[in-house]
Amino acid sequence: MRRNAAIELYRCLLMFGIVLMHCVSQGPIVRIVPYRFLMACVTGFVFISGYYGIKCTSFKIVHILATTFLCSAIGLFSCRIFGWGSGQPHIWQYFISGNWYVWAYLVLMAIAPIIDRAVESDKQHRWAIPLLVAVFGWNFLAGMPVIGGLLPHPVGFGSHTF
Amino acid sequence: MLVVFIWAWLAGIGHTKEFVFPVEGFATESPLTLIGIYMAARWFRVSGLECKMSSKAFAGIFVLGLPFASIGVANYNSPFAFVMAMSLFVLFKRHMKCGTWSLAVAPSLFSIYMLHSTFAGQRLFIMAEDWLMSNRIPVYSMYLLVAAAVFASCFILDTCRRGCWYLCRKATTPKEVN
Repeated sequence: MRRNAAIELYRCLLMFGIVLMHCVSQGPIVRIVPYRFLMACVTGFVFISGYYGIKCTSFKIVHILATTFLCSAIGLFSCRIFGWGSGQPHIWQYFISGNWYVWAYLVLMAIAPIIDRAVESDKQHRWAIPLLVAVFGWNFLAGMPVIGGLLPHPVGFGSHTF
Repeated sequence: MLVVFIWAWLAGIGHTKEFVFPVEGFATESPLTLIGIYMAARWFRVSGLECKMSSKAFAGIFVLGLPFASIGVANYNSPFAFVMAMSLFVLFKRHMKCGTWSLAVAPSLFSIYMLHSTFAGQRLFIMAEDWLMSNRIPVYSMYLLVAAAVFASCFILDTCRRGCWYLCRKATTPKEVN
Protein backbone atom coordinates (compact mmCIF):
# COMPACT_ATOMS: atom_id res chain seq x y z
CA MET A 1 0.00 0.00 0.00
CA ARG A 2 1.30 3.45 -0.92
CA ARG A 3 1.90 5.66 2.10
CA ASN A 4 0.52 9.17 2.45
CA ALA A 5 3.38 11.67 2.89
CA ALA A 6 1.23 14.06 4.93
CA ILE A 7 0.29 11.34 7.43
CA GLU A 8 3.94 10.27 7.65
CA LEU A 9 4.84 13.90 8.40
CA TYR A 10 2.18 13.88 11.13
CA ARG A 11 3.72 10.69 12.55
CA CYS A 12 7.21 12.28 12.48
CA LEU A 13 5.91 15.29 14.39
CA LEU A 14 4.16 13.02 16.88
CA MET A 15 7.39 11.12 17.48
CA PHE A 16 9.25 14.39 17.95
CA GLY A 17 6.53 15.34 20.45
CA ILE A 18 7.08 12.08 22.35
CA VAL A 19 10.85 12.69 22.49
CA LEU A 20 10.12 16.23 23.69
CA MET A 21 7.69 14.87 26.31
CA HIS A 22 10.37 12.58 27.72
CA CYS A 23 12.85 15.44 27.59
CA VAL A 24 10.51 17.69 29.59
CA SER A 25 9.98 14.95 32.18
CA GLN A 26 13.73 14.46 32.77
CA GLY A 27 15.67 16.22 35.47
CA PRO A 28 14.66 17.66 38.83
CA ILE A 29 11.79 19.82 37.55
CA VAL A 30 9.02 18.20 35.53
CA ARG A 31 7.14 20.80 33.45
CA ILE A 32 3.61 19.58 34.02
CA VAL A 33 1.74 21.76 31.50
CA PRO A 34 3.83 20.91 28.39
CA TYR A 35 4.14 17.32 29.59
CA ARG A 36 0.38 16.88 29.72
CA PHE A 37 -0.09 18.63 26.41
CA LEU A 38 2.50 16.40 24.74
CA MET A 39 0.81 13.27 26.04
CA ALA A 40 -1.61 13.67 23.13
CA CYS A 41 1.23 12.57 20.82
CA VAL A 42 1.00 8.98 22.12
CA THR A 43 -2.76 9.15 21.61
CA GLY A 44 -2.14 10.36 18.05
CA PHE A 45 -0.03 7.32 17.26
CA VAL A 46 -2.69 4.92 18.51
CA PHE A 47 -5.35 6.96 16.72
CA ILE A 48 -3.58 6.40 13.37
CA SER A 49 -3.39 2.66 14.13
CA GLY A 50 -7.10 2.64 14.88
CA TYR A 51 -8.03 4.71 11.85
CA TYR A 52 -6.19 2.51 9.35
CA GLY A 53 -6.44 -0.70 11.36
CA ILE A 54 -3.70 -3.09 12.44
CA LYS A 55 -3.00 -6.28 10.55
CA CYS A 56 -1.61 -8.99 12.79
CA THR A 57 1.07 -10.94 10.92
CA SER A 58 3.83 -13.15 12.28
CA PHE A 59 6.44 -11.12 10.36
CA LYS A 60 5.25 -7.91 11.99
CA ILE A 61 5.40 -9.44 15.48
CA VAL A 62 8.91 -10.81 14.91
CA HIS A 63 10.03 -7.47 13.44
CA ILE A 64 8.70 -5.51 16.45
CA LEU A 65 10.26 -7.90 18.98
CA ALA A 66 13.59 -8.02 17.14
CA THR A 67 13.78 -4.22 16.86
CA THR A 68 12.86 -3.85 20.54
CA PHE A 69 15.50 -6.35 21.60
CA LEU A 70 18.16 -4.79 19.40
CA CYS A 71 17.41 -1.25 20.61
CA SER A 72 17.39 -2.38 24.26
CA ALA A 73 20.74 -4.10 23.66
CA ILE A 74 22.22 -1.00 21.98
CA GLY A 75 21.01 1.16 24.89
CA LEU A 76 22.44 -1.10 27.58
CA PHE A 77 25.65 -1.73 25.64
CA SER A 78 26.32 2.01 25.26
CA CYS A 79 25.70 2.45 28.99
CA ARG A 80 28.28 -0.24 29.78
CA ILE A 81 30.83 1.20 27.33
CA PHE A 82 30.55 4.78 28.57
CA GLY A 83 30.09 3.76 32.20
CA TRP A 84 26.77 5.57 32.57
CA GLY A 85 24.93 4.64 35.74
CA SER A 86 25.21 1.43 37.74
CA GLY A 87 22.95 -1.43 38.78
CA GLN A 88 21.20 -1.64 35.43
CA PRO A 89 18.92 -4.62 34.87
CA HIS A 90 19.80 -7.63 32.78
CA ILE A 91 18.97 -7.34 29.08
CA TRP A 92 16.03 -9.76 29.38
CA GLN A 93 14.61 -7.96 32.40
CA TYR A 94 14.86 -4.67 30.55
CA PHE A 95 13.41 -6.22 27.39
CA ILE A 96 10.34 -7.45 29.30
CA SER A 97 9.70 -4.67 31.79
CA GLY A 98 11.23 -1.59 30.18
CA ASN A 99 9.01 -1.33 27.11
CA TRP A 100 5.39 -1.07 28.20
CA TYR A 101 4.30 0.46 24.90
CA VAL A 102 5.55 -2.52 22.88
CA TRP A 103 3.63 -5.03 25.00
CA ALA A 104 0.55 -2.85 24.91
CA TYR A 105 0.82 -2.65 21.13
CA LEU A 106 1.19 -6.41 20.82
CA VAL A 107 -1.90 -6.96 22.99
CA LEU A 108 -3.70 -4.44 20.78
CA MET A 109 -2.48 -6.22 17.66
CA ALA A 110 -3.92 -9.50 18.91
CA ILE A 111 -7.30 -7.95 19.77
CA ALA A 112 -7.53 -5.61 16.74
CA PRO A 113 -9.31 -8.06 14.36
CA ILE A 114 -12.05 -8.65 16.97
CA ILE A 115 -12.49 -4.91 17.54
CA ASP A 116 -12.57 -4.24 13.79
CA ARG A 117 -15.23 -6.88 13.25
CA ALA A 118 -17.32 -5.58 16.16
CA VAL A 119 -17.18 -1.96 15.00
CA GLU A 120 -17.75 -2.66 11.32
CA SER A 121 -20.31 -5.45 11.60
CA ASP A 122 -23.79 -4.05 12.21
CA LYS A 123 -25.23 -0.70 13.12
CA GLN A 124 -27.54 -2.13 15.77
CA HIS A 125 -24.79 -2.73 18.30
CA ARG A 126 -22.70 0.34 17.55
CA TRP A 127 -24.15 2.09 20.59
CA ALA A 128 -22.03 -0.23 22.75
CA ILE A 129 -18.73 1.07 21.37
CA PRO A 130 -18.37 4.13 23.67
CA LEU A 131 -19.19 1.84 26.59
CA LEU A 132 -16.49 -0.59 25.53
CA VAL A 133 -14.09 2.34 25.09
CA ALA A 134 -14.74 3.25 28.72
CA VAL A 135 -14.38 -0.35 29.89
CA PHE A 136 -11.09 -0.87 28.09
CA GLY A 137 -9.80 2.40 29.48
CA TRP A 138 -10.08 0.82 32.89
CA ASN A 139 -6.87 -0.14 34.62
CA PHE A 140 -7.12 -3.91 34.61
CA LEU A 141 -4.22 -4.23 37.00
CA ALA A 142 -6.13 -2.40 39.74
CA GLY A 143 -9.65 -3.33 38.74
CA MET A 144 -9.23 -6.97 37.77
CA PRO A 145 -6.13 -8.49 39.37
CA VAL A 146 -6.56 -11.88 37.67
CA ILE A 147 -6.56 -10.49 34.13
CA GLY A 148 -4.01 -7.83 35.08
CA GLY A 149 -1.68 -10.52 36.38
CA LEU A 150 -1.76 -12.28 33.05
CA LEU A 151 -0.47 -9.26 31.19
CA PRO A 152 3.20 -9.15 30.27
CA HIS A 153 3.78 -5.70 31.73
CA PRO A 154 3.10 -6.63 35.39
CA VAL A 155 4.90 -9.95 34.87
CA GLY A 156 7.95 -8.10 33.65
CA PHE A 157 7.64 -5.56 36.44
CA GLY A 158 7.44 -8.42 38.97
CA SER A 159 10.48 -10.17 37.49
CA HIS A 160 12.40 -6.90 37.65
CA THR A 161 11.36 -6.16 41.25
CA PHE A 162 12.00 -9.62 42.71
CA MET B 1 -22.77 7.90 24.76
CA LEU B 2 -23.01 11.43 26.12
CA VAL B 3 -23.04 10.18 29.72
CA VAL B 4 -20.00 7.98 29.10
CA PHE B 5 -18.07 10.81 27.56
CA ILE B 6 -18.97 13.33 30.29
CA TRP B 7 -17.83 10.77 32.83
CA ALA B 8 -14.64 10.18 30.86
CA TRP B 9 -14.02 13.93 30.59
CA LEU B 10 -14.29 14.38 34.32
CA ALA B 11 -12.12 11.33 34.94
CA GLY B 12 -9.56 12.71 32.50
CA ILE B 13 -9.14 16.02 34.32
CA GLY B 14 -6.46 15.83 36.98
CA HIS B 15 -8.36 17.70 39.68
CA THR B 16 -11.77 16.07 39.23
CA LYS B 17 -10.81 12.45 38.63
CA GLU B 18 -10.82 11.70 42.35
CA PHE B 19 -14.53 12.48 42.51
CA VAL B 20 -15.45 10.26 39.59
CA PHE B 21 -15.92 6.51 39.82
CA PRO B 22 -13.66 4.60 39.40
CA VAL B 23 -10.85 6.59 41.00
CA GLU B 24 -8.17 4.63 39.17
CA GLY B 25 -10.21 4.28 36.07
CA PHE B 26 -10.06 6.10 32.81
CA ALA B 27 -7.16 8.26 33.82
CA THR B 28 -4.73 5.61 35.02
CA GLU B 29 -1.88 4.33 32.92
CA SER B 30 -2.27 0.76 31.77
CA PRO B 31 -1.21 -1.20 28.70
CA LEU B 32 -4.87 -1.71 27.90
CA THR B 33 -5.59 2.02 27.77
CA LEU B 34 -4.50 1.91 24.13
CA ILE B 35 -7.41 -0.37 23.27
CA GLY B 36 -9.89 2.36 24.14
CA ILE B 37 -8.16 4.84 21.82
CA TYR B 38 -7.97 2.26 19.03
CA MET B 39 -11.65 1.43 19.35
CA ALA B 40 -12.68 5.09 19.38
CA ALA B 41 -10.55 5.79 16.29
CA ARG B 42 -12.09 2.83 14.48
CA TRP B 43 -15.54 4.06 15.41
CA PHE B 44 -14.65 7.57 14.17
CA ARG B 45 -13.76 6.17 10.74
CA VAL B 46 -16.76 3.88 10.43
CA SER B 47 -19.28 6.44 11.68
CA GLY B 48 -18.54 8.78 8.76
CA LEU B 49 -18.17 11.77 11.09
CA GLU B 50 -15.09 12.85 9.19
CA CYS B 51 -17.05 13.45 5.97
CA LYS B 52 -19.84 15.29 7.75
CA MET B 53 -17.60 17.85 9.42
CA SER B 54 -15.72 20.67 7.72
CA SER B 55 -12.06 21.48 8.18
CA LYS B 56 -13.05 24.68 9.97
CA ALA B 57 -14.92 22.63 12.56
CA PHE B 58 -11.89 20.40 13.15
CA ALA B 59 -9.60 23.45 13.36
CA GLY B 60 -12.01 24.99 15.88
CA ILE B 61 -12.00 21.79 17.96
CA PHE B 62 -8.21 21.78 17.93
CA VAL B 63 -7.85 25.43 18.92
CA LEU B 64 -10.49 25.12 21.65
CA GLY B 65 -8.86 21.93 22.89
CA LEU B 66 -5.40 23.50 23.30
CA PRO B 67 -5.92 25.14 26.71
CA PHE B 68 -7.95 22.14 27.97
CA ALA B 69 -5.31 19.66 26.82
CA SER B 70 -2.49 21.45 28.58
CA ILE B 71 -4.30 21.42 31.92
CA GLY B 72 -6.74 18.56 31.56
CA VAL B 73 -4.90 15.60 30.06
CA ALA B 74 -4.12 13.18 32.85
CA ASN B 75 -3.22 10.26 30.64
CA TYR B 76 -3.01 9.02 27.06
CA ASN B 77 -6.63 7.93 26.94
CA SER B 78 -8.01 11.27 28.08
CA PRO B 79 -10.80 12.43 25.76
CA PHE B 80 -9.03 15.80 25.47
CA ALA B 81 -5.96 14.09 24.07
CA PHE B 82 -8.12 11.99 21.76
CA VAL B 83 -9.99 14.98 20.37
CA MET B 84 -6.74 16.89 19.81
CA ALA B 85 -5.10 13.96 18.01
CA MET B 86 -8.21 13.34 15.92
CA SER B 87 -8.65 16.95 14.75
CA LEU B 88 -4.96 17.38 13.94
CA PHE B 89 -4.95 14.11 12.00
CA VAL B 90 -7.87 15.20 9.83
CA LEU B 91 -6.31 18.61 9.20
CA PHE B 92 -3.01 17.03 8.16
CA LYS B 93 -4.79 14.54 5.93
CA ARG B 94 -6.84 17.19 4.15
CA HIS B 95 -4.51 20.17 3.87
CA MET B 96 -0.89 19.30 4.44
CA LYS B 97 1.24 19.22 1.31
CA CYS B 98 4.60 17.69 1.90
CA GLY B 99 7.53 16.22 -0.01
CA THR B 100 8.57 12.62 0.15
CA TRP B 101 11.30 13.24 2.74
CA SER B 102 8.87 12.24 5.49
CA LEU B 103 8.63 8.80 3.85
CA ALA B 104 12.38 8.40 4.39
CA VAL B 105 12.16 9.21 8.11
CA ALA B 106 8.99 7.16 8.74
CA PRO B 107 10.54 3.65 8.80
CA SER B 108 12.90 4.75 11.60
CA LEU B 109 10.21 6.12 13.92
CA PHE B 110 9.71 2.95 15.95
CA SER B 111 13.47 2.57 16.44
CA ILE B 112 13.75 6.24 17.43
CA TYR B 113 11.11 5.61 20.09
CA MET B 114 12.89 2.51 21.35
CA LEU B 115 16.38 4.05 21.32
CA HIS B 116 15.51 7.31 23.05
CA SER B 117 13.63 5.52 25.84
CA THR B 118 16.63 3.38 26.86
CA PHE B 119 19.02 4.26 29.68
CA ALA B 120 21.49 5.58 27.12
CA GLY B 121 18.80 7.82 25.64
CA GLN B 122 17.90 9.17 29.07
CA ARG B 123 21.57 9.78 29.77
CA LEU B 124 21.84 11.71 26.50
CA PHE B 125 18.95 13.93 27.63
CA ILE B 126 20.64 14.70 30.93
CA MET B 127 24.05 15.35 29.39
CA ALA B 128 22.65 17.65 26.72
CA GLU B 129 20.55 19.50 29.31
CA ASP B 130 23.57 20.00 31.56
CA TRP B 131 25.62 21.35 28.68
CA LEU B 132 22.90 23.71 27.51
CA MET B 133 22.10 24.90 31.04
CA SER B 134 25.75 25.84 31.53
CA ASN B 135 25.44 28.00 28.40
CA ARG B 136 22.36 29.74 29.82
CA ILE B 137 19.98 28.98 26.99
CA PRO B 138 16.28 29.71 27.75
CA VAL B 139 14.53 26.64 29.18
CA TYR B 140 12.02 25.88 26.42
CA SER B 141 14.51 26.53 23.62
CA MET B 142 16.81 24.16 25.47
CA TYR B 143 14.14 21.45 25.55
CA LEU B 144 13.54 21.85 21.83
CA LEU B 145 17.26 21.67 21.07
CA VAL B 146 17.80 18.62 23.27
CA ALA B 147 14.82 16.78 21.78
CA ALA B 148 15.99 17.62 18.24
CA ALA B 149 19.51 16.42 19.02
CA VAL B 150 18.30 13.15 20.53
CA PHE B 151 15.84 12.62 17.66
CA ALA B 152 18.58 13.22 15.07
CA SER B 153 21.15 11.01 16.80
CA CYS B 154 18.64 8.14 17.12
CA PHE B 155 17.71 8.57 13.45
CA ILE B 156 21.36 8.44 12.37
CA LEU B 157 21.95 5.34 14.48
CA ASP B 158 18.91 3.61 13.03
CA THR B 159 19.86 4.58 9.49
CA CYS B 160 23.23 2.85 10.06
CA ARG B 161 21.38 -0.21 11.39
CA ARG B 162 19.08 -0.30 8.37
CA GLY B 163 22.05 0.19 6.04
CA CYS B 164 23.87 -2.78 7.62
CA TRP B 165 20.72 -4.87 7.39
CA TYR B 166 20.32 -3.98 3.71
CA LEU B 167 23.94 -4.91 2.94
CA CYS B 168 23.59 -8.22 4.83
CA ARG B 169 20.47 -9.09 2.87
CA LYS B 170 22.12 -8.13 -0.39
CA ALA B 171 25.16 -10.25 0.37
CA THR B 172 23.16 -13.31 1.39
CA THR B 173 20.57 -13.18 -1.41
CA PRO B 174 21.67 -15.42 -4.32
CA LYS B 175 22.09 -13.61 -7.63
CA GLU B 176 19.89 -14.53 -10.56
CA VAL B 177 21.59 -16.64 -13.17
CA ASN B 178 20.47 -16.07 -16.75
